[in-house]
Amino acid sequence: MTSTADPDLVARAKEGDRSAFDELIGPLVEQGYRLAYGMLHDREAAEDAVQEAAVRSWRKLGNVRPGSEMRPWFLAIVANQCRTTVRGRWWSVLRIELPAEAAAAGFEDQIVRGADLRAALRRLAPEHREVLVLHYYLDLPLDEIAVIAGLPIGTVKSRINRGLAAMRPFFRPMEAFS
Amino acid sequence: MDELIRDRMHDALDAEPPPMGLRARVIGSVPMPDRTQRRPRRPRLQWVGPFASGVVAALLAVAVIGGLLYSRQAIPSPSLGSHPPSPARLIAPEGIAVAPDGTVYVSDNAGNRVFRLLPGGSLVSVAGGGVGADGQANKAHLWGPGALAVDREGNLYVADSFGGAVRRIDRQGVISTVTTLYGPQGLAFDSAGVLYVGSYYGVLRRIDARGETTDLDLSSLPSPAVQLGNMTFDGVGNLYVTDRAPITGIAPSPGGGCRIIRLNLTKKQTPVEGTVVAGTGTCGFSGDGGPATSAQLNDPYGIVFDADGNLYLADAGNHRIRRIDKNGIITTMAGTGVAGYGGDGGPATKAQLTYPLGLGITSGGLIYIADPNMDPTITPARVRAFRISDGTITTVAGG
Repeated sequence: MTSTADPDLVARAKEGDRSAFDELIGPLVEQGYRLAYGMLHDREAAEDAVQEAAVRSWRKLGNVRPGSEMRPWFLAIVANQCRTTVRGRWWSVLRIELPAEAAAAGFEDQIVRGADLRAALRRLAPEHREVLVLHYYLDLPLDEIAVIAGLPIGTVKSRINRGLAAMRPFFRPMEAFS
Repeated sequence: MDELIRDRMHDALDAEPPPMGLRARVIGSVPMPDRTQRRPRRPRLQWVGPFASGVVAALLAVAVIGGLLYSRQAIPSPSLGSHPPSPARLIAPEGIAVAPDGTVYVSDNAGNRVFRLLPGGSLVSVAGGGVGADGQANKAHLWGPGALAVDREGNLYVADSFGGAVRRIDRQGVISTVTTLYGPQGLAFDSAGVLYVGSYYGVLRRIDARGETTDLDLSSLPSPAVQLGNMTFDGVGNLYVTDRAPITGIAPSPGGGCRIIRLNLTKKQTPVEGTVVAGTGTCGFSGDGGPATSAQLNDPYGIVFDADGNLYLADAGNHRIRRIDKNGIITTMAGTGVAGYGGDGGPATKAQLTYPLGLGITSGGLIYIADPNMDPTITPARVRAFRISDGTITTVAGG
C-alpha cells in the first residue's frame, strides 16, 4: 500500500499546514522508524533519524512531483539519514568496539541459544543490511527498493544475495540444529 | 525460504516496536511556520495609555542604567547559559573550549547540545536540544556538535559535524550559521582573529573577520590526503592539525591517518606547506620516549599547546594523553593504554581514560579532557582534568 502526492496537500503542507503534512508523511512514520531501527539497531538513533528525515522532507516538499509516490520518496530520505549516521565518526567508534564474544561464538550455537539475529544484522555491511530490511522486513518490492536506495534493480538483487549469503546460518530452519 | 527469512526478521526486529506517540512527536518536531492559525489579538488598554507609557519608560531607564552598571563587573558570558543549572547528562562529550575569561564549554556529540561547565561540575545548556535553525541557541537544532572555539569577543563557535555547518553563538545566546561544509572537525582562530575550519574530508577553510571565505590548497601536504581533526595554532602562526584514523569507505584515500601535521600559514603561499611532526602514517601505539615522528598514534583528535610550547594530544584510540615536547620527544602523560575509568586524585599515568577526544587548556595549565565512553547508550561519560604542574587527574563533570 502506498500513497501518491496530492498536489493540494503538498501545497498546504508547504504553507505550514501541519495537518496536511501529517496526512502526507504521518502514515509513513512507523515504517520509517522500522527501517531506521533495522539499519541502526538503536531506538534513540532510529527516532532521531526519522525526526531528521521528517524535517528534511518538509524542506524538500517542493521537489515532489504531482502523482509521485510518497513512500519511496520518504523512505529514501530516512535511509539517507541512517547512512549519514552510520558514516559518522562516533558511530564508527561504536561499531569498531563491538563485543568480541558475539563474533567468537559460532553462528549455530547462537541460534540454538536463541541468540541474536540483530547482532548479526548489525555486523553486516550497512548497504546489505539496508536492502535486507527493506525487502524482508518492510516487504517492499524490488523496484521500490531501487528507488529508495538509489540503485539499479540488478544491484539491489546482488546486494540482497550477498546479504543473505552472510546471514545464511540464521535463515536455516530451526530443526537443523535440534 | 523467503517466508522463513521474513519470519526471522520480524522476530528479531519487532522486539523493538515503534515507541508510543512517535508519529505526533515526529510530525510535531518539524519547525514549519504555522500560518493556519491566527495569533489572538492583544486587547488594548486605552485608558492607561499615557500613564503606562510613562511608567514603562521609567522602568526601562532604570533597567538600562542598572544593566550598564552590572555589566561593568567581570562576569563571564552573562547571557550564554543564563538558564538555571540542570542535572544534564553527558552522552558523548567531544569538543572542549576554554574562553579567554576562563569559561569552559563542552559539546555533546551524541546528545546534540553544547554546555557550559560550572565550577561545581554542573552543566548548563547553551545551545541545542531544540528544532529551530538560526535564532535562540537553546531552541536550535544541532546535529553532532564537535569541535568548539571561542573568539576574542567571547562568541562561541561550534563545528556541527553531522549538520555540516559551523555555527556561531553570540554573547546574547543567538545562534547563526557561519559556513556550511561536510564533516567539520576542527576550529581554530589565529592571532588576528581569522577562523580556520577543517573538515574530515580534507577541506581547510579560512574565514576572515569580514566573512570572506577561502579554501586553502592542501595538495602539497605529505600524502596520503589528510582527514582533518582538531587544530590549534602555535605561538608563531603555524597551524597544527590532527590527521584522524581513516574510516573505511569514507576517508578520502585509503591508508594513512594517525599523524599530526604542522601547516606553515605564515608564508601566505599556496599550496600550503606541511610537515609531519608526529605519527608514521600507520595507526598503532609505539614510540614513547623517542622522536614523535617515529611514534605511532591511533586516531589522534584534540591538541593544545601549553604555555611552554609543549604540544598535548588526545591519542584517542590508545586511550592516552601524550605530550610532544619542544625537542620533538613524545611521552604519555595520562592513561595506561587500557580503556576504562579510574585513578582520580592520583598520577594520571596510572589512571584510565576511555576514548579521550577534545582538549582545552587554561592559562593555569589545567587541561580539560572530553572522555566519552565507548557505548554512550549504556555508560555515563565524563569531563576530566589533568594538571600539568603535578601530573594528577580528576573528574570534573559527568560520571
